[in-house]
Amino acid sequence: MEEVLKAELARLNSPFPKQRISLEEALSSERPGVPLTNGAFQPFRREELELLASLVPEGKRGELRLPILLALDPGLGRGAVRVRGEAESRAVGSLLGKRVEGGELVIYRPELREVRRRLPTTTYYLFLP
Amino acid sequence: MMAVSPTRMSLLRLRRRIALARKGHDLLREKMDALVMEFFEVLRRVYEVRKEAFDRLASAHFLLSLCMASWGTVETEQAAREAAKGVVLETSVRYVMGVPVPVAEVEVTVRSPLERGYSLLSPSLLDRASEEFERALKLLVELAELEETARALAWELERTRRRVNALEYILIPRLEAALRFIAMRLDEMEREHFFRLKRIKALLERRERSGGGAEG
Repeated sequence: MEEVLKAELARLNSPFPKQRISLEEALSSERPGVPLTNGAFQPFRREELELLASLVPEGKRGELRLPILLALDPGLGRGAVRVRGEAESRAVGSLLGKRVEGGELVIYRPELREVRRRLPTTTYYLFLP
Repeated sequence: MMAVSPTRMSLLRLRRRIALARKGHDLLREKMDALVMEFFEVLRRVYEVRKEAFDRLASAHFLLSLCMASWGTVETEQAAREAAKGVVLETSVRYVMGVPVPVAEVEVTVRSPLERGYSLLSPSLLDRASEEFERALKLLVELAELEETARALAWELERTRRRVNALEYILIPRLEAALRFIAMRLDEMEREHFFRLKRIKALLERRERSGGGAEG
């Protein structure tokens, strides 16, 4: 059972994006997306990129890294998710109509549902041990 | 209960195993919650898209029936045979918490009457029916993607739920029972040791007293 558990924990963040690209790069790319650690490619939907572009000022598009990581941290309590990075947390904050202070935003399950509903391909879950 | 030797080493090892099991349980429960949320969101979309697709198809079939009635069945079937076929469908895979789910995108589904390829002398009813079918096609592709996503998420959800339950109801309680047993056994051994020391001390004191009495 413990072997299964260890394998399961190792599998939680697999596959993971090998690199993140800026919103600016994604918008100018013909096939926007990022490679994953298992060799697959995670595509971004064009409509989501356009939605993000409407939320972020033009000068800041180079700072927003995609996919936006939604960190599930059991230390924060059940259902709480942390969004790190100033541009990323501001984008998610303006999507939800939330004020962001500092380079971090904590959102809860109903907000997470809204974020995932509107940005299913440009956000990615990250499990923090 | 698990077979464990009641030593301090085992106690420390068990504590580490319990900490790992609890951490795993918390993380897997988070994953399960997120999967439930994703699954219900996909189901909601499946319901919406299915309804919309069926409405479009019903409307398309109604228009096609009207066209057949007014223009003639043979002529309508001939136009259908002449129509250009083939749709460019792009498929790929995206990952939701490690679960591969399909992404299917159709570039353009609604074509102009010229692109459809049948005679331009056909009635406008045929164009309207074709347009409805083309719109329904986009929805059907989306529906296929969503249904496959729901199936993959449901499978992963079931798997994760089994792991969480096994941890919550089997592994963690067993480890905790073993920990309690070792702690109890070690306490018992400590009490035995303490009692033994007291007995030895009393014995030594008695010997000392009896030895001192003989000398005096």
